[in-house]
Amino acid sequence: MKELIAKASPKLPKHDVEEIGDRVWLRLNAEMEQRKDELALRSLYGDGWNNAPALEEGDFQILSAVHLLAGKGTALDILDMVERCTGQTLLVAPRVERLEKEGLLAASRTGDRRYEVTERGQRALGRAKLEGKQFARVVEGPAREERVKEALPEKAD
Amino acid sequence: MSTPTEPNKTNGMFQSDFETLYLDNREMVLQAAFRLLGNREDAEDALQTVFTRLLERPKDQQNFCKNPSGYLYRSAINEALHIISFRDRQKLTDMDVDSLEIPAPEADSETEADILRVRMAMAKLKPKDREILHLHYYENYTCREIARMQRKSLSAVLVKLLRARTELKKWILIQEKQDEAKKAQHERIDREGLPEASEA
Repeated sequence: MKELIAKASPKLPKHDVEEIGDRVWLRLNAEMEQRKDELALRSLYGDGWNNAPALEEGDFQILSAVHLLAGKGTALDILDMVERCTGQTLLVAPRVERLEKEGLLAASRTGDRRYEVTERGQRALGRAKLEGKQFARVVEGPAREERVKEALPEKAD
Repeated sequence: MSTPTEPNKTNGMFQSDFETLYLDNREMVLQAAFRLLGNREDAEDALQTVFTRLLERPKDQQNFCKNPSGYLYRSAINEALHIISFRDRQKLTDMDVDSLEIPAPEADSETEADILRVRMAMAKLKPKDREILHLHYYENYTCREIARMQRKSLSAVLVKLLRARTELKKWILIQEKQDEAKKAQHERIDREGLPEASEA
């Protein structure tokens, strides 16, 4: 049985394997080129990410706010931005301090402490984006509903 | 199956890890798909799909990390089965059985006939039956290993293997009977000559 099955099994010749393998590799390479920004954040092994930590919702909001403020935001500005964009009030100071310790945020050393997102923080934001997190979704929802209402024709009597 | 690639425990450069993984496993994936599909183009599609899916985030990253080669092998089989069911390839495989590229056996004509019968019988089997026979008799996996690989119980694998063997034997017998009938017909034609064409 073993011998017969082995002899009856179709097998691609070595040169065909090489030829097909090379052709597929070219296409995979093109696909990787298209996705290179995403793949820079990814790892094939481990947790699947390359130095891009997971962010919980609150941390994601703070990092997004700091990113939008482009290095000019103090803790108060961050609080304000989060409130305006999400409608939520966060306890910003302890989170900012922790994110700074974790290397996701950096503060200016002179004058007011103004925060900016570090490279690691940018990677974390990139991961959150790939995971489908959205910064302004809380305010986008009602705004979208308003737009939909405006677009709808009035009901006929 | 080739030696499983040792998983890299640290997070590294995706592209270079991917290339190494591809080069180490492309032949195994391609041959596994080809054995089921019996068609070069479809096997190429399967190879492409299996590795393209890896570029997207795998849903079960943990399973992939535990045994990348095993994961790829399962993916190849699943993709081949998917291609078969989606394109209704079974019919084509039956038709294409003569075009399968099998190295010419060096044995005598009786053995050749046996091999041909097994080929025909294998082509008649359901893809999953064909696969379990391959895994056990061709890839030399034990039933326990197949059970682990397919995430099934050992008894389920034993039953499946038994059924696949029975099915294979049934088709081999059918082939033998057909061959005998053909042989008898040829002998009769040789003895009596071609029957005259009936008048319209």
